[in-house]
Amino acid sequence: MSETKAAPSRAWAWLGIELVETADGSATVQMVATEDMANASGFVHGGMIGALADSAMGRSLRTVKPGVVRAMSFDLKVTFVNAAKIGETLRAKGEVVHAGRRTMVAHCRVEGRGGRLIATASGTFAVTREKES
Amino acid sequence: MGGGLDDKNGWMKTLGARIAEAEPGRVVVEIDAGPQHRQGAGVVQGGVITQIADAAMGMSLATMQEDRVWNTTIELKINFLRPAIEGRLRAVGRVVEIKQSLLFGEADVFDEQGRLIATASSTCMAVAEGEGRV
Repeated sequence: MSETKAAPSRAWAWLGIELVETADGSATVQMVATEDMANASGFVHGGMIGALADSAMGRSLRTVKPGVVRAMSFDLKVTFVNAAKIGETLRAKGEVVHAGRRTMVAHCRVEGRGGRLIATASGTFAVTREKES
Repeated sequence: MGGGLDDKNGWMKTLGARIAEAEPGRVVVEIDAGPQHRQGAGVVQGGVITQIADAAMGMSLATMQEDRVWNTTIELKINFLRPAIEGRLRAVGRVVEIKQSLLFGEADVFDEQGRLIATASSTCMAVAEGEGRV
């Protein structure tokens, strides 16, 4: 557990997304799937998992140097491997794969209880970076 | 896979691709990039990189399947991270997860200097012998 407790955005606060840890080039976030996140089949809606993965990847971009001033996802791909259950804590680890001057690419693994693979994701981000010092 | 490479994997001959390494869950497909692989801007065409990445993923998954069951790609995504011009390009495929009918793979493509030039992911569908065209 680390850094600030306050969610960095309204979306994070609304979904209950919390930062677990960060390292150079990676960030882990988690969320407990609530009843309100269920799809018609009673499992966690894919869009919620996509939002969690996007959040982990977006946060991971902030750990590289020179720093990222602004980042916007312009491509997000999610592969749903196993269904996630309501009540399950979902943990997403985002990792920077490519840190360019204008674009960055990150990958993500979303795991459920016991490390069960729920989804993998990748995202491409348009970034503005600080000047190299 | 299966049969003579020339007969059943004509694309490998066309592209000059080869299987450089193969072990359970991991297959490396290589090409020696040259002018025949480049597009108008003088860099290796994305489809060529996609082709070796797709093959590396499909073959990696095949190593974990039962005998006489292959797979076919039903969806693929790739990110091109830096241009490649020449030299050996290596697509390293790996297995993410294998389900009953769907298989999930990933691949990283490196240039001769070992720099990451592309990353890909795919979803494949299991095809039993006799179910497909061959």
